[in-house]
Amino acid sequence: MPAETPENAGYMIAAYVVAPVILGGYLASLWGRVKKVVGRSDGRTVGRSDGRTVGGDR
Amino acid sequence: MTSDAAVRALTRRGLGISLAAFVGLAAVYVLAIGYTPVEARQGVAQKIFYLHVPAAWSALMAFALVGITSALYLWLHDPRLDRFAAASAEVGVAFSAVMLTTGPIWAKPIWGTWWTWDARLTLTLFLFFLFIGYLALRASLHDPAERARFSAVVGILGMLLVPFIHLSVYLFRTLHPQPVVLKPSAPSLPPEMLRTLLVSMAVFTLLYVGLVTLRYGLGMAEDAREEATDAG
Repeated sequence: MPAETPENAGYMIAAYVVAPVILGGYLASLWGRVKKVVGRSDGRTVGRSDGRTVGGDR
Repeated sequence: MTSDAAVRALTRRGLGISLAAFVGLAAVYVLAIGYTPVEARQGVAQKIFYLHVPAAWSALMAFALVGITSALYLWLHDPRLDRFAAASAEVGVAFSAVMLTTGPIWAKPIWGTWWTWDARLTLTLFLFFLFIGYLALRASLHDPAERARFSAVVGILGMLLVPFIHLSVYLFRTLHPQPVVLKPSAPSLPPEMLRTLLVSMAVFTLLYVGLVTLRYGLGMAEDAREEATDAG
């Protein structure tokens, strides 16, 4: 007689939530860093002619 | 001089590809939950396979590419290769985090334990820490040439672990199952499971491309800022 299929959907749900949270969080953090370094569309640029730069830390 | 417009175009392209990959990930969820059968012995928890294996694939591919581009950097001294290696390493760490969290969540109901110190798991954790160290090393060095040279050596050493991790299930006694797709014989999976896995691997590869494109654009912007700071 075959063994009963275990009831363990909670583990699948946990994994299916955790994976996009990690990857989405990383994507959001990357985009935030891009915005910080490049600057928003307010005329700030990557490297300024006076040698000073816009926000962000490496 | 790096053009601000080029950085913006690259980062927007990276963001677009990444968002498209997230839409693809939603399709993978639909396929995995609604289309693929429930494995009789493992139950629904087996469906973690469709995230865990592609995350492992993406992480190991990312770290292998770090090693290859690092070796090429030491030969050619092209800063674009170093920038790509840095981007791939950071994205690889993100995919490793997914691999190292979905793995224990899957292991608990199947093995009865969240973690075991067997060869596959221990080497994978070691690889993760090694690339955390790689990123820390990069952050600690200011001189671009020195940073690229030192981190290239670490990147190559990290790459050497990748085949060991893949072959560890053959070389050592381990709880971790042997490969079901990337092996000398034909894949040992029912067609529905194999199709869903391949779709998920394609989606994760697309996400890798998107995130690396975005991170590469960020690296261009950071390098330009650094150059401007040094010039000033």
